[in-house]
Amino acid sequence: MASKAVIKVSDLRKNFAKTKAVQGISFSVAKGSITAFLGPNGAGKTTTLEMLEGLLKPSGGTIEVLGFNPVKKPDEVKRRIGIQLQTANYYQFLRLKELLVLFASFYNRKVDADKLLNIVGLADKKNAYVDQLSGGQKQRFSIVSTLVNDPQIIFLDEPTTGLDPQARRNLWEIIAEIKRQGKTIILTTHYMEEAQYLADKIFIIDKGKIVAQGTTKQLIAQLPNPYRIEITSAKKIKLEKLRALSGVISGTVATNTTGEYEYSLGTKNIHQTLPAVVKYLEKEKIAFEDIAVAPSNLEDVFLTLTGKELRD
Amino acid sequence: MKALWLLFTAMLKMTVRNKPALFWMLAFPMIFLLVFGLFNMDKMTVGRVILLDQAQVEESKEIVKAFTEGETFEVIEGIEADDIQGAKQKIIDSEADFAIVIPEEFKNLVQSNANIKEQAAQAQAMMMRGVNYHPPTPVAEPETVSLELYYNEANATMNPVVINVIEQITTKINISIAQTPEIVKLDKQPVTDRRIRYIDFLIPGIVAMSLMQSAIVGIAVFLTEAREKKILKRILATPINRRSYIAAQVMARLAITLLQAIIILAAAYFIYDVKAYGSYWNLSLWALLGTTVFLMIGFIIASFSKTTSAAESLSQVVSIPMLFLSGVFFPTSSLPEWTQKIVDYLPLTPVIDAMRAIAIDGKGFNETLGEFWIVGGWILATFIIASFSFRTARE
Repeated sequence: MASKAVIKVSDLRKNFAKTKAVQGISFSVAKGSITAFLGPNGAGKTTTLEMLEGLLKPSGGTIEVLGFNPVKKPDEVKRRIGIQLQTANYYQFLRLKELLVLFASFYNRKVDADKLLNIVGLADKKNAYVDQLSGGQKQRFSIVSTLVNDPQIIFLDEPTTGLDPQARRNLWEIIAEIKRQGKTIILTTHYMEEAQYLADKIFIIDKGKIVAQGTTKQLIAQLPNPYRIEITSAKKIKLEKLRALSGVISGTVATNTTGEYEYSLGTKNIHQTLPAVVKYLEKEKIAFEDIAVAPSNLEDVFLTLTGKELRD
Repeated sequence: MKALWLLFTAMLKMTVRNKPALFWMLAFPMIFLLVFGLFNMDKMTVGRVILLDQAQVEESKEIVKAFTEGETFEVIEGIEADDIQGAKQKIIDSEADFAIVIPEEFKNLVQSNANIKEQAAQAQAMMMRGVNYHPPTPVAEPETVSLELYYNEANATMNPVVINVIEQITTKINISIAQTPEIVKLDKQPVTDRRIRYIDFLIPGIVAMSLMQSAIVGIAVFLTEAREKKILKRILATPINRRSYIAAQVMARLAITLLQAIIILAAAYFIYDVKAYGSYWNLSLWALLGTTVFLMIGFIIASFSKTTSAAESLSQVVSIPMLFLSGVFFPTSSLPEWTQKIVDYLPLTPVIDAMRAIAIDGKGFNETLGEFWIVGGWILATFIIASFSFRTARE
């Protein structure tokens, strides 16, 4: 996929009074792709986005969005992009349809508000106020509000935070549909499933730096332990014995709500490790309730790279 | 341009749809209007007056007659014309509201006016006959005579009415001396035709008060909320510039407060038959001037407030003292002198004074220029502060 880059960023930095929020990041975004910035709260995701959008002035580095520098030509950039802010709010006493027409007028454009609302399944809510919408509907509205100027790039800052799983799924479908219309999408999230499901390219960002990048597969393949063997047992097993088995790279244990032990062993070579584990358990006459093999996920990538959980 | 218009209409829609805010915008002044109106109605229509006519000429008797004929005043009889002490005692005992003394010198004034009149008549007669007439001497400089007014300073509701009536009489006398010697006929008019009640005095104050409240609180809370909830940030993420956004905001607020003023004036007209004697256009112009200052103050408050509740309380801190000091309910003349000097330069005072001058005294706009310069100064000063502070407050 050697597409044209619509965004080029080099050594981008942002210092606030007390913190260095972004510490020299460089990347480019391919046209028509979905790029996800994955990281915990305070990693610098929003700051990065706002610098790209021309809302925040960088302390250093260069940005090019659709050929324009957002510091020097913020309006040229703003005209061509759609922005969803993290805590999106709209005027309380305007109807959805009126809000879309109003926002379109800020771009000197006319919109078919009904058609737009239809895309996100809010056609029957066109005369409602934003406050009358559910959380998921609000987010859908804030996404459709980014489309009023038919932008080339859409920025979505944590579009699904605080939504229930069903509403989140629904929103993913909408985002995927917008991508199919040929738009480039950049989103931030701290849900790894979201990045995994939507993104063509993921940037894992922590403490203002990009710590890893690539597709989900590439990121997981980079891990020393791309597979996990999970064992659930009522009886306690010695962890160091499990760790000593052939090919095992990492091992953790936790107890679940029913008081059972849950072991997770990381490995690179599943063919070698799985038989060894089964053999050991049989030899020791350990009855296990459950044994499962799973590929590692972005959560593991994050844990391995930063030494901490994604959501804490 | 279209964005500006859509923002303007959006602002109006939001104001009308925000029912609680709309209710307070109109109910607050209405409550004042009704309570103060009902409370004082009966007492206000009849002011008890003692007339001490020491001049006892035909013209002074006309003045006395004017008070007797009108419905506004009840004339208390039975006090000798030279018994000023007795009249004062009646006021202290609350048996009368005020006393007017027409001094003996009034006789001379009438006499000199008669002379002027005669000279003028002679001149005219000679000119009619085609005689080339040069007046021998400039027309005599008219003398002035002070009418004395005694009233109880504690009687705060009555005084503005009375002082207003007396002021009208005295100005009319001055005017009549300068122009035509016929004094007394002009004097009669204001007393019989214009009965100035407390409610007439009150309404301009209530209009000014409510436009101050809705302009300061309205803009400060609206903008702070827009910033706090990141609505402003979302709007500024589009190519629309800050200036258009603020321009739409200001125009919409001006329209809203003007409408509010019209509703209050209409209510006053239908409920209490309060009419403005001056031009309603000038009143509207003053409503807009007043609103402009208060909008600027609102902008300044918005740029210093982090939260909506902070904006709300800061607005109250600024507006409540003005509400009580600037003469919404009582004339500022009842304040201590030094306070009065400060209060005269608060932005609300000149707005109320000008509106009263137009509504009660029927004055034109150019007779409110003194107030205009004070308000103009405030507009300029607050505009400079607002544009500076609002710029630095940008996120």
